Amino acid sequence: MLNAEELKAYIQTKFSEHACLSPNEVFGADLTLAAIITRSERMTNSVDLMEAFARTSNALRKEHGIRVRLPALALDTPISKVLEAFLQEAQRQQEGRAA
Amino acid sequence: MLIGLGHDLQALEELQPLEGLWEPGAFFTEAEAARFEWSPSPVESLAAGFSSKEALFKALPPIEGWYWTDAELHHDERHAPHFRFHGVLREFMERQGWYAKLSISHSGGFVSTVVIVSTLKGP
Repeated sequence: MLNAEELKAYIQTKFSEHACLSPNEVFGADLTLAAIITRSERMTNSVDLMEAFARTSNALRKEHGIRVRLPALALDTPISKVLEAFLQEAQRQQEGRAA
Repeated sequence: MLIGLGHDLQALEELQPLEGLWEPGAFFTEAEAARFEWSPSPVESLAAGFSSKEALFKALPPIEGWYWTDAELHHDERHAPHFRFHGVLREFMERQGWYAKLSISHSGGFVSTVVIVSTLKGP
């Protein structure tokens, strides 16, 4: 079972990888979803953004058995809020399994 | 009373190379993902599902804490599309007494979707 910091680092690494940006570029600057689309060479619109989130979610499920639903958030949302939603979902499941 | 109107246009070619969105449980429910896979045109079906949710998002005001899987696309016996809501989104829609109507068109490599949210249940 991953602890909170390991989980956070894993999500940050996977999402950045799928966005073709460095974790610091995305999470260090706490970019909005719109800014991530603009900066990423791989992304042109919300389809690409959702694909990157979906791949991150799928990796969590395949490698750690954690299912994370994607939150419905506007493009002016900072990435820290998405990360928080991912972590809450993941931690709820981990706690459920441990109980 | 009209609450909101949302429109979305989705090019099929943008979805061709994707893999992540096909997996159930993240953006689409298991039932949606299975229906896309079994349909005669899986990419068109996936595009309709994606476009429907985007149009719904545009038709709704900001609602805290709902997930894309809370808006599940279904078709009735006449193949007319509609949403089944779950979780936070369902509670919100029921509390407000709001209904969503959905129209989907496919043409020339695109899917166009319109969603109207109103207080009228309609037919």
